[in-house]
Amino acid sequence: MMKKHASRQKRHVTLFVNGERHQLKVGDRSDEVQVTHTLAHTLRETLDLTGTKTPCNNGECGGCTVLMDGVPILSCTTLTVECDGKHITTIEGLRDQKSGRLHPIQQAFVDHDAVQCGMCTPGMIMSLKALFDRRPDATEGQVREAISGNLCRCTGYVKYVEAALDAARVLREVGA
Amino acid sequence: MAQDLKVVGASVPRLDAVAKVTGDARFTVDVKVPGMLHARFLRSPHPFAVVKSISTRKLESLSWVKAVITHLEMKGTVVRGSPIDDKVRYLGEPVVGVAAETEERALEALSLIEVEYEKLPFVRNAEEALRPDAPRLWPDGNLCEWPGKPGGPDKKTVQWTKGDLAQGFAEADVIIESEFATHTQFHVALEPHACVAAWDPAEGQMTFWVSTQHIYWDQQSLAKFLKLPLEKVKVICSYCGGAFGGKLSTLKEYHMVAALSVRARRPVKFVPTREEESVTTALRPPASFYYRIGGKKDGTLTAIDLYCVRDGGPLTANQPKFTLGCTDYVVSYFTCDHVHYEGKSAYTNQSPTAAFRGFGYFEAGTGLEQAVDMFVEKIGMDPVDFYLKNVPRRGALLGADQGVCTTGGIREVIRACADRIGWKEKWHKPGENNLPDGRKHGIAIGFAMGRATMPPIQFAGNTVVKINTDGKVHVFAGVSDMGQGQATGLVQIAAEALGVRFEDVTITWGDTVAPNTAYQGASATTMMSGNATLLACEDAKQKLFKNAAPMLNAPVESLKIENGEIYVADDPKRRITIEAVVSRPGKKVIIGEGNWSMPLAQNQPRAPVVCFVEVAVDTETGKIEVLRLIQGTDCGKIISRERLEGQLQGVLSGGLGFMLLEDWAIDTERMRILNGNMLDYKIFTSLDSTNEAMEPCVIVEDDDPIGPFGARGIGEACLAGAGPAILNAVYNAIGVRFHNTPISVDKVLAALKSGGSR
Repeated sequence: MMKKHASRQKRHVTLFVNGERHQLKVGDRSDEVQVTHTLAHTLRETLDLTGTKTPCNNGECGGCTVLMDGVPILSCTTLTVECDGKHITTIEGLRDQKSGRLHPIQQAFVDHDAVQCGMCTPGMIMSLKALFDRRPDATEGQVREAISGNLCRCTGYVKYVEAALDAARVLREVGA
Repeated sequence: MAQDLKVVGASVPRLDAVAKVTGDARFTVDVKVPGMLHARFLRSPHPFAVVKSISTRKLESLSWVKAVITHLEMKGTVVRGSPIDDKVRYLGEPVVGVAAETEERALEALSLIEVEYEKLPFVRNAEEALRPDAPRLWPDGNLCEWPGKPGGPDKKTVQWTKGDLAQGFAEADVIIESEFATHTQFHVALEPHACVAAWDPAEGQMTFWVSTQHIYWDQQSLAKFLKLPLEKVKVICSYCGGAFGGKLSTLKEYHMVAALSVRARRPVKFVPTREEESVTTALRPPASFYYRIGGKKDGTLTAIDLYCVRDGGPLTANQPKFTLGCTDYVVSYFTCDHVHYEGKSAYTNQSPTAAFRGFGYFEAGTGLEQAVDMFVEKIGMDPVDFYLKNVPRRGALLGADQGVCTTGGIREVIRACADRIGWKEKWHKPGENNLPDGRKHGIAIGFAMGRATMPPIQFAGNTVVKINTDGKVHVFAGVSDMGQGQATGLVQIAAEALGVRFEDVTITWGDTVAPNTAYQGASATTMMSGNATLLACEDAKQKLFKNAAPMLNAPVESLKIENGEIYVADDPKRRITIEAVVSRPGKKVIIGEGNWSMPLAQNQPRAPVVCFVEVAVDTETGKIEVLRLIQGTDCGKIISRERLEGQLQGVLSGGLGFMLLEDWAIDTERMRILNGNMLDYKIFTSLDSTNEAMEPCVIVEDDDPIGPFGARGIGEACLAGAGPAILNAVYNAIGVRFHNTPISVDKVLAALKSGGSR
């Protein structure tokens, strides 16, 4: 707080996105991170990670949920310059990067057909990832609480809950 | 009809599931093209005004403004069924489009544009529109034209009479009159109406990515606007992030973005903000209904009279279909000899309107079934017995077209749902059951029936199937897949028809490179594109057999196909792989063609949904809790149980949400919608239901005689059974009838306080 204009003076912002280090220039040019840019904008436009969606782009629907140091955040209302040094996990970082194998939550969504139009899906999965990282024994109530900020217009949430509880079971088995 | 099916009905993963769970799926909002500009729009601040002049002079010196298009330049262009003239007719109508290097720059430019308006007195709703002294939205008046059938002599009324209404009411022991009014609903598709136009000056070709339900309408509209042959406008929608009927119009913005791309000779992208999406693209319009029904003491309906007026918004678009949906669809719910309906749709200075999982039968049917509920209460009949007695059977002649109903399993669905919920034990007189926690218990049945085909004038399916030299099958079907899993279903149908594995079939969808096909609406794609695919496969199969016959030394008629091989029926050892046939010397790729449509006056496959609910109403807080909800359907042969369940479970969001929670807020002084976002406009969250309350769906597979492998579409009606079910269940709980929507907590409380109906 004391360092007024800290973000303006700083020339770079460093993000660790899905394990990869990105040093991004801060400035006013179109290829630079501007101080007004949200993390969602930087992920989607600068890093071309369009799996993170911005259905409302105003912190209302949860579609842009990513993990920052393991905590689910709304990337559409987080400024990129606030994220210096942070570890960001997006939907693209969930599958096993070497084998390409889907994360158990992703696999459960496929198996349960817990996918319709697909726009809320990445945010939904990221919220569940954050939940299961903390509580692999989560109940239906906790699952519903965790995705209560992720709005979906297609499914009625039934299959999400089924898939999530199934994924939690798999994660517990893998973890055990 | 016992069928030995291997792929249709099997549990196969949806084709785009992995792309969607990994973030690999590129929706329109994700499309990027090198050199892409961004468009923003200056919008009308008035609901109705003459645009006297537009000056964009100040933009001329700005290097970062690459192209401009104004409303006045578009005069004569027909958009959403209405011609552009010098007037703007809704608040937020785009007046000037600007393409600039960035969105911020485009927004900046808007503030430099000068527009002179002459404000006009405006029309707030349908009631105002129909007053004799109302301002006229169009020279011909405020009633939307309906030149089609069934129609009245004024060419503006949907109208039909069967039998003799007076006789029907004379035969009745009990006559019920009832009114019902419904509010506006936002679609809240998670992907907004985004588009990217990429004009290629060298080829003279437009490539247009758009989040849509109808790539071919967009193609036709844009080709006409740009004066190009259809083939020079390529429309692509690989993934559509939700639509629900709201993406059935080629927006004025799409035309303007295309023009901006041509002018700038660069690609241009437009993504509406959430507020623009909510209030300027499309919404479910308000409507009001009047019903008069008569029946005998034994539950026989003798007369149905239905009158409806819709607030159609300022553009013609789909208004006539709405009116038809509110009337003709709904009177077909029940068998009755004497029927009359009349429907009108009025132009108003509200936002443009669109379908919303149905052209209005959700609302109209809800009101009708309230009248039915009053009727059965008066004659002392069990509501389930009434439905069992009156819903149509296979072979019944339906609606004005008097087409033959091909749906046969509705009664079986009703019985199974009633058993599941324990109707016999649980149904009680209104207000007579208190739960142990003091809340009032209510239970009811709801029913809705959509169509699974549309008239050939609107609906024809075209599919091309290619069997390539590796023996693999490719389907070209230009459907949009907005989450219903249509593309996967067509692959299942093709695999089944050609006797190959699911994995051996690929598909091109959402791309106008495939032959022209009607839009994805009205639950009609399964029937339309499913049958077209089936016919294309049949054509391909015959061509394969023709080529295989000399190789197997057997006549064409003796050949059959299974497991990727063609064999001689009475000597199955003589067989040859499909690959061997298409890869032989002088090889020839096999192309099969399929075209399908069905006049409504012939057969009418109908998509029924039965919904039973149990509710608890807290009389202290007014809160309505859905304790149990059972969705049932007879969709003919199931193509995919998972996808079908997904559609039926969608009732929790758009269906129950509309009746209980969602409401718009509008400042009618200015026609400004105040809650065009996802925070102040409340849709169901995951906390508004439980998986325990949402019972497994009851599904009856009574094969449709004209559907592909007996299947028929169902998507639309999935919301609609919940309307009457929830309203009648609340009545059953507290004895209060609500005649307008939504039945929000405050209305319930007020009604309980006053002890009367609302």
